[in-house]
Amino acid sequence: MNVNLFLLIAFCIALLFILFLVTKLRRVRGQLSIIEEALEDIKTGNPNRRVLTRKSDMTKRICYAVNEIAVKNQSQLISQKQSEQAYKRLMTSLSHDVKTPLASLVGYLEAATTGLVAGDEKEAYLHVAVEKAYHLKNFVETLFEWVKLDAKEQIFHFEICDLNELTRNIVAEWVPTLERNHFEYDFDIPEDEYFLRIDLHSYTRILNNLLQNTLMHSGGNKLTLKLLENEQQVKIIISDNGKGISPSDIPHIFERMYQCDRSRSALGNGLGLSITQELVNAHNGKIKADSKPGTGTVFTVLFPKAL
Amino acid sequence: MSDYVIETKRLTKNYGEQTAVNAVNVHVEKGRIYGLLGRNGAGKTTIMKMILGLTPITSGEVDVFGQNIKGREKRVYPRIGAIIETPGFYPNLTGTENLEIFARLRGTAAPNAVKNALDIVGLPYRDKKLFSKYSLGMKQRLGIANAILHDPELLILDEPTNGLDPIGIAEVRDFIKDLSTEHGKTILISSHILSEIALLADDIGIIDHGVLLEENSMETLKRKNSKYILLQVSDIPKTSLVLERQFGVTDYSVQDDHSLRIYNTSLDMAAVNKALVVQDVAVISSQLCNDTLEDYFKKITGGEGIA
Repeated sequence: MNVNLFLLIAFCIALLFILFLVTKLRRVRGQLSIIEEALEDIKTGNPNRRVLTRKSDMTKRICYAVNEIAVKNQSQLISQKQSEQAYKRLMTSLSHDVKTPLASLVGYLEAATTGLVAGDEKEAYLHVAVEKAYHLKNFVETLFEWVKLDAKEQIFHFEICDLNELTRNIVAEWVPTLERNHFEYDFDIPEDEYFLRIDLHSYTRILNNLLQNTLMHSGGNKLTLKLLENEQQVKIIISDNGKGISPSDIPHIFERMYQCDRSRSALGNGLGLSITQELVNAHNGKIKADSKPGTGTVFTVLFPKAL
Repeated sequence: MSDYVIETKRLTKNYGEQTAVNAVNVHVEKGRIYGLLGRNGAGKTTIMKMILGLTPITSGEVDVFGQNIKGREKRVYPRIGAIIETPGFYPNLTGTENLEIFARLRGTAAPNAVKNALDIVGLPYRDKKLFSKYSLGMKQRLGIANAILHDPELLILDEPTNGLDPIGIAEVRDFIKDLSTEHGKTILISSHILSEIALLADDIGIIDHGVLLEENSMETLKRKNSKYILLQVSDIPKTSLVLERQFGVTDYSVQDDHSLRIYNTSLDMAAVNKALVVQDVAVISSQLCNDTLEDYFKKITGGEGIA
């Protein structure tokens, strides 16, 4: 009798155990079919697909590994796509922004060479044509620089240097230009040393672009540059007393080819601020613009001390 | 196979007598941001809810990832992340703890999913702050973190910038854009603010009183959004010379061998035509394009416009 009872209990335990195993098996099979479906999807070109899994899942490691491969695949595809798009934008830019100055250059040269104008006027036409050609050359060079940044193909050489000293040297070169353009200026750069890891060329470019931008587009006559430094970061503030930028333009000014006055063939090329932003980003920094129309614009650049 | 991640076919929703959504055909392309634009009560949320199975469909179909969603919900929903209205979180837990609960419920694609999601939206990992102490902006961010927790292919975000301050809006906009460009996500987003959608979306669907009035790419719409005179002529260099020398126009761009755009729309075209004819340039056509995006939306919504 006792033996029978023991057998019955043993049988029940065995049955429960089998039931447990069967449910477990079914769950794993279900998960396997999900993995299979996802793998098929990834294989046919959808690297966005992920397999979801829980901490208690037996297939956890497989799922994580599949996802990792998919993520890697995806980021490769994305960077490929980005450089493709960058070149597409270059083509658009070449076709639109080069065509206009080129057409007008041809117009001037044709007029001068076919005898439409003569004497002093011919000289003047040739002079304009030369200026336009230089402008175009400049634009194309800047464009290629921008494309390199846009396609993330620019190589940076980061080194530690004294930011205060470097900044002083850069702004010193601007003094004659500012005076020639009747700009009042005020540079507030700390006397001590402040070491930061940066790419020299990029930093120079960033400051030059911002100063150039103020000089050409602000419409003001006063410029201030201030460096605020602490253990975490350095803040570079460049402000003017010009006409300002309207609130509707502010979100776009760092976009490529965005020009507030939209006069394309006039001054500037619509690439300066876009390049500046890309360069600041490469230093893990931030750039922003604040402006009140009528009272001026403030550009603020932030670089973290630890790169 | 079509490249639509979401495709609705004559999707309709009636609440009693009232039709909230009327035969809507939405096409969301893979890897793009689709903006659903319409005023409050236009039917945006209802469409999203029907796609997500949160409310029954009266008639019509929803295809997600190229297949009808009916009967495949269990396989499809894990591939979607969404926030509809205010997401529900436990007020007495921290953000990290809240996400860990959802990670356990839903499963994740990587071992460090919670940290990744918080990093993307810019919230601290393992912060002590309770959800009840969160600001509106932080709550909204946590909602998005929850939606991307399982690294889904498709995101459905209902007014994700609602109630945020301008800086918060810009930040949320930036990382949504990032999710699309850097992580390859397909995103369906709704908003009642035209300028918001214009800055973010690749494609746009305009919905009014439950009817999809227009579906188009932002690029196409932006092309309509400008004021210019389109001039078709036989000789572009000569035309640009005439414009610059005789009319002082610098604000123009050459489109192709025979057409250019003049952005100064107040130019005396009769005089320009005459001057061109004198120079032996044939004017094929000149037409004024004068539409802003707002005007355009007013026109298609029947004069009421969009907030």
